[in-house]
Amino acid sequence: MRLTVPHMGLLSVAYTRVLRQHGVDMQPPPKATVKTLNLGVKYSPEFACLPFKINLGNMMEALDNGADAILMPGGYGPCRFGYYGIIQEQILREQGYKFTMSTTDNPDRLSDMIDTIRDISQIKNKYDGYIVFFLILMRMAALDKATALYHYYKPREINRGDTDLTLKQAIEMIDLADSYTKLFRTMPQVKKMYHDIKIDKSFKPVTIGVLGEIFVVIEPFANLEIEKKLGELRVEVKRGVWLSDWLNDRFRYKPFRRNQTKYATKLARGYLNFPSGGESIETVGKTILFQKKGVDGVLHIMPFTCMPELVASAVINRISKDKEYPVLSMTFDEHVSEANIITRLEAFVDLLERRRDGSVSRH
Amino acid sequence: MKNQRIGIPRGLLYYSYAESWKLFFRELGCEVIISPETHADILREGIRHATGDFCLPVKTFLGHVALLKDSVDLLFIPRYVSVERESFMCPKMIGLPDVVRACFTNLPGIVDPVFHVKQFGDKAIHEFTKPIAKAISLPHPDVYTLFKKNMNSGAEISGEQHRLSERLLSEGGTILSSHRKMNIGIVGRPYLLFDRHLSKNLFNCIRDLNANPIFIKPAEPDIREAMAVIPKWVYWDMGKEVVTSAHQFFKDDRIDGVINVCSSTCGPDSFTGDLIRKRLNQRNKPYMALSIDEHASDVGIQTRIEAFIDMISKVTA
Repeated sequence: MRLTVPHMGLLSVAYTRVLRQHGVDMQPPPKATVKTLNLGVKYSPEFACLPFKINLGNMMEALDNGADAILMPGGYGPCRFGYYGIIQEQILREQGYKFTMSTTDNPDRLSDMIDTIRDISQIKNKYDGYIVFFLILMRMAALDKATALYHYYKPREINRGDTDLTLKQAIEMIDLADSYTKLFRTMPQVKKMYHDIKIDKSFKPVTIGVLGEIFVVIEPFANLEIEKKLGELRVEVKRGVWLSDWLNDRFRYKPFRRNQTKYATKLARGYLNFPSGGESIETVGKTILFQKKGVDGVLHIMPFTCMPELVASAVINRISKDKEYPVLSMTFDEHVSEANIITRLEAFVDLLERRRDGSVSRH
Repeated sequence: MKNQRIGIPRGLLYYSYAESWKLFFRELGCEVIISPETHADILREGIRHATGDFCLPVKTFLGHVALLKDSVDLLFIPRYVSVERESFMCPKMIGLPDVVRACFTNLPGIVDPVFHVKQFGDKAIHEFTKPIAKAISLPHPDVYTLFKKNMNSGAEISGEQHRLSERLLSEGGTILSSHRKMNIGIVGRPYLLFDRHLSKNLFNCIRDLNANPIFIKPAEPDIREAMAVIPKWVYWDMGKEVVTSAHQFFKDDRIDGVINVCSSTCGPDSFTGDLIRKRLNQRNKPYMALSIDEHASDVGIQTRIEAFIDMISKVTA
């Protein structure tokens, strides 16, 4: 059995090596390209959301490369994500692919996750399952840490491209750290690597909070590397949605980090009084948080026809008016062009810079 | 405080629960004001207020709110999260009161009780009536009893079309096929089908072509039966009904063809449509998905229905 799991940001980096060690024949899909997207778009329902299409493309390419089993998380949300696996299986079967598909319908429950790991690997002891699962979570947290450092150093770098290279190296180093000991030794090295980048310490970049649907935020292919683009426009990104936070809300492996969903729910009160699925409550709550913390503006990104984020986008529009706070909502689908994105980002950053310098009135 | 004017926008869940709401508020001693049937101006106003790519029914709903908001004391926009233990409404429906608040200024008070069976279980009605009692200053137990009493009295709107279809179907195939040539099963969400402006008077259009439009509201056992056919039950309340009635139509020999009406950017329908077409339509019955948005024209819809019916009669002839 060669197992494949669709990409979601850096998640596959976190588990591939560890699971391979324990006897799982992992075959991660090739990195998403335009070809992946085209494949996904061709066979998906027209108004399916972008993550669905990219996932489907991922699966097709992985199956073409020799994988014969797919693992897809599910769930019972109001959001469409819980039903992805069913529709995708149906489409793939229709295209004549031969494979087995397992959907884990309860990705929120720790014991179910451990059972999934025990099912697919040689780990039979429940305790060992926990050890391995938490190592994967720690690796994910480390990858997110490396990305956060990237956000800080990128706008300040003096030699263009240094930080991109460092991030790439950092990901490789974390990928190689396949035990707790190695991971704890790697992190100081990663930090030192970033520290060695030549930066302009006096430069105070404009800050933009990036929020929205989790897949589009964390998957650079889906958002046309929007964080890199912002970095190149000399903007410091403050990302509000992290995969490690999402995991921590469910599995509490970072005991001192507060539950981000609950925190956002508290902040969003008065604007969005009830979580309407997906990351809607995080988007609204963290917009308010960023406004309070003095982040210059919020960039809200979502897939086209995403139901929860549409609610959020209407609500943060109101927040923007009430608090005179710049918010830009952008929708991503297969038709989005690079030039369009860059133009809108440049205009937004320009607005924020002028606003900060006081050369634009607040009304 | 009695004699308050309660406004109920004629959109979305109105088409599923209005009868019970109306009875309930009238018995509480309130004056119930309902916005008129959708017309072009309401839709235009809704589109003007909506932000982003909301689906057509939500935009229409906002138009109804715009029409009502200045002439009532309270707007009744309940937040139906789940009406059963194992399903959800669409996220836009869950966030509806917040969306209304976000899209308008100068709103009257909004009563937005939460109906959430999945979380509250048997206490759902209790939780639901609490904010209503508070808003109209009546003791909670009275409101609770009254709502419970009215909940199932005509709970589902029986628009004339719905009633007609149900009668036709229950009277069996003989009457069905006596004076009209064919029966077309219609699946879709009530708020899209029964809003004459949005559905472009679909039912009459089909009747004019000498065919019977049939709409059914699936019962609990039917839903269970249909959900057993597909690998995972559909967790959207209305999506579940759409899938079930499609399943019923496909296996019913009296039905000659099925039309699935959905609004074009509807999230759940984009998936259930695929499910219906690929998984349920085993007998290859004529099936058409008709997606509607604000640019749909009467003539366009008519042409497609004509073509569909034409096609069926050619095949069966």
